[in-house]
Amino acid sequence: MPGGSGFSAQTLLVLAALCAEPADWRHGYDLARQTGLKSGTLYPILIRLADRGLVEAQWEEGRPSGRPPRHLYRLSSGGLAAARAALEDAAVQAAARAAAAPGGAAPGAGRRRSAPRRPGLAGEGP
Amino acid sequence: MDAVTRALDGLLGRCAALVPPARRGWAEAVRAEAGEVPAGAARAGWLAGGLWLVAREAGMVRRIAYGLGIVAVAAIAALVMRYLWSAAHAGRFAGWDKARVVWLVALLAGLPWVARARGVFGPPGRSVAARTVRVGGATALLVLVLDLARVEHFPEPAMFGVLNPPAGAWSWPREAVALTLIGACLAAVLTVPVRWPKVRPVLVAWGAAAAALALYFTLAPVQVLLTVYVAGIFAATAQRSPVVPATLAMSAGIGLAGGLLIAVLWDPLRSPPAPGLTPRTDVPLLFMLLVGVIVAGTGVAGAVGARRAGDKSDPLARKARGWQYLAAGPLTAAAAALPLPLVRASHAVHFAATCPPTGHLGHCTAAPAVWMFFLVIGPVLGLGFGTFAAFIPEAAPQPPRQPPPDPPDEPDRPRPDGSLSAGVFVKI
Repeated sequence: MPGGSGFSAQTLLVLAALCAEPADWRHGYDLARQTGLKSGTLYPILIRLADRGLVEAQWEEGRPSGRPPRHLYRLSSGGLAAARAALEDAAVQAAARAAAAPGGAAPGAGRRRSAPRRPGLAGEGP
Repeated sequence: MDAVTRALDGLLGRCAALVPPARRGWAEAVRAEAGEVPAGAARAGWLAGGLWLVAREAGMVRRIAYGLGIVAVAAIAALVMRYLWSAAHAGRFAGWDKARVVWLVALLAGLPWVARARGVFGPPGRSVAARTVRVGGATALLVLVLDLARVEHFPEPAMFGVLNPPAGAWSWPREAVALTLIGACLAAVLTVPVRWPKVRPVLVAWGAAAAALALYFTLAPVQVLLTVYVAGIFAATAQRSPVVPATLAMSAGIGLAGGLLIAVLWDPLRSPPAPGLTPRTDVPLLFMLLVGVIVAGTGVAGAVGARRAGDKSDPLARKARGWQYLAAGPLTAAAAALPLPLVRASHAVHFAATCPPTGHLGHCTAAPAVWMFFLVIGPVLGLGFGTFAAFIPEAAPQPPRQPPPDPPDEPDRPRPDGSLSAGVFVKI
């Protein structure tokens, strides 16, 4: 189900995994283990994120011994900001759903983000 | 399991070449990671995911689904032909039935190839809606030919002159003339917009409709009907068609829903006094329902499609918006008219088979005449409603044009004796 940011739940998982250590380059199987996604789901998500400029991708430099070079991924600077905003938005929505559900949090918590009352407003007026 | 993994790895390596070069690295990335995945089912699953990725990125899923649709249409065509050439189907009109199915198959297979240079009738658009409408329409027309042949197997005075030319007997010269004229009309539809680009598409559409109606009532009704339906479906679903997928999906969906409702409401068993259609049946009401469905489909599908086509302020987008309405009318009508013969054919065959030879013959065999009426008049009405709706956006008030500024500091010149001010010759 797409969140308010327009990202699907699986995409949010990938963004969260990449957001955990944004400076590090991650490889596909590492992300798949962390998110629990299959390769047929993970890679299309990475492709779309790379198309939108949110993820940088590059091949591993040098020639590692005993295995082929890996394709590595990390969030771009714009991607990091977008990922943080999307994850924050998703957290707010999840809290709102929990509050709205029967037996959830106290009414008024989470979903309604009303502006904080300015001190003195209550006593103002003619 | 190792053999399976190796086979999947090799397959993925070869299939990666199908992906566009800019995307190929992603498929290779899946292969490169496979060594990290624990051997066995997990690694095989990882590589299978890579194959799925290749299928998605190469657009293979859509191609495979459309290919399966074409295979299904070919199989249905083979089954219909087998039935018509079998000994079970013989009689006075067997020649007509064979000619119809041969003509339909030739159209389905040949029209996109013949008109490939113009691109009007094919190849199909990339959208799911375009491909579904094309495959579904071809299937429905094949089944229609089969149903008509099944009903024609019995005496049918009510259908005489509706399904077959007035003489009723098979005639090679008449068939040749009819097919030549149909081909000439198709060629005109292809060439007129190219040679005379100022001719409005709506005029071409109405000209083709008039020619089709003339040929329908004089020479070869079903062949003309099949040609118009195939050409219309191909033109609307072609890659270069101006009809957007939303218009296709909405008009086909609304038409199909309305057509199924008509088929469900039309229960000949309820019609007194004998089984079959009588003058007192609810056919006029069903016809009104058909008109309502066409109006609704034209309005809704045209509006949704027009919204996708672009902004009203852009002249090109305004033209594209008009196209959506023009196409939505006939498409909705065709989708609404086709389910009736397809769903109710068994009833008609049953009545024709059990009809007493001396009484109620006209009533028992009137069903196909009603189908043909719906199939013919529906798209004509749809074209009319579509034309009307297409001209409304053009007639909408445009932002007023600013008059050009007066030339600065130009001295007033004396007016001549005659003035063309405001487009009216005024003698001062």
